[in-house]
Amino acid sequence: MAWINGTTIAMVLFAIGATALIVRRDLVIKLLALGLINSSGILFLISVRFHPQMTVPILPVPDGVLIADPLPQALVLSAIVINFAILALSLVFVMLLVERYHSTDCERIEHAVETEKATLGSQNLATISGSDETEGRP
Amino acid sequence: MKRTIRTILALLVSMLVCCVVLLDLVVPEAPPRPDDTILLAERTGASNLVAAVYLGARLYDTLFEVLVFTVAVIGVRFYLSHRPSTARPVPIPESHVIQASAQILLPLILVLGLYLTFFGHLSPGGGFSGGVVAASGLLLCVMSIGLDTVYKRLSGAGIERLEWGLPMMIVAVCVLPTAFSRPILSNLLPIGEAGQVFGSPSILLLNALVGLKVLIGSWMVLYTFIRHRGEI
Repeated sequence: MAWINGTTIAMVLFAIGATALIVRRDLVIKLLALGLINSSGILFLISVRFHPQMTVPILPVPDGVLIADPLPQALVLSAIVINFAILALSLVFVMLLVERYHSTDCERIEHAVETEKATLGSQNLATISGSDETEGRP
Repeated sequence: MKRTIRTILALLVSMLVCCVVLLDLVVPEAPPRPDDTILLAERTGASNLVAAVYLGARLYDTLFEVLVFTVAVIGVRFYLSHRPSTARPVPIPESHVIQASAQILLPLILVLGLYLTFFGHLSPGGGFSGGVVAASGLLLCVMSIGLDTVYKRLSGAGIERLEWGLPMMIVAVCVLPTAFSRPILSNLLPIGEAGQVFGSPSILLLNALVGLKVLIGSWMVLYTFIRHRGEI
């Protein structure tokens, strides 16, 4: 069972997140899948240099004890904060879309946007042709 | 049909990424030499090497991290400010247990946030986690005494002006060493005794500023969501 470690679990989590991101149509579930992918990246970065004999990187450490690498942990800190920022901002966009189209289904929203575009385009065409007619008239 | 194609595509993409990662992955056998990390701790004066990395050696990353956080808070407030806000957000009627326990728990949570912020260079913690802990304490306060009361008390403390001033102060702390002909993003304050709270004053100052910034930013995001959604 040595292959069950943080790296492989991170890959499984990434696969689940990517599948949910592509297959599911609900926007909120897509955001949850993005969070899962982010968590899998965090788990991967932390566990890729894992060694059972390492201690936490806080001084003082006893002699002869290995210190864990502090660099991936600092990178992970940035990843967590930026994931929070992305989640907050994209939740706002989902709220705006839901308010306008009354659905979190991304295909329905695309369909609604296309019909809206089509109606707007025909209205614009009508106004342009109408203005041409009015200008053409003496 | 479309769904099947999507599922196959998703599995292919994730397998491809995993294969690329596995093929490319070269884990160095030797752990980092203790000399390097201990040298870093001596240069910054922080016992917590993670804090020494993200507020010392890689301060540039942290600076832009704070800017990304600020931009997200600005975006949330900008896009939600055009929406009609509910006049009075109706709080969910809470039981007396929560109301009474919030009064007891709030000082403890705030003290924990302060401890995480100010001892971030000596023990696990730091400005980001301390700020989020204190903001969760504020959320508990909102659940017990209502949004408007907390908002009035906090705006009395001038919290919104700090929201815009704190990123400027963090940038100023980073740029200020150039005025004393030192390299940018370097330590300006003298390093004290290792293992003490004031052992590395510049990391302590940056941790305090980042903690306050994260506290105010998280509170602003929470307040804007509650205000424009009408529920707690």
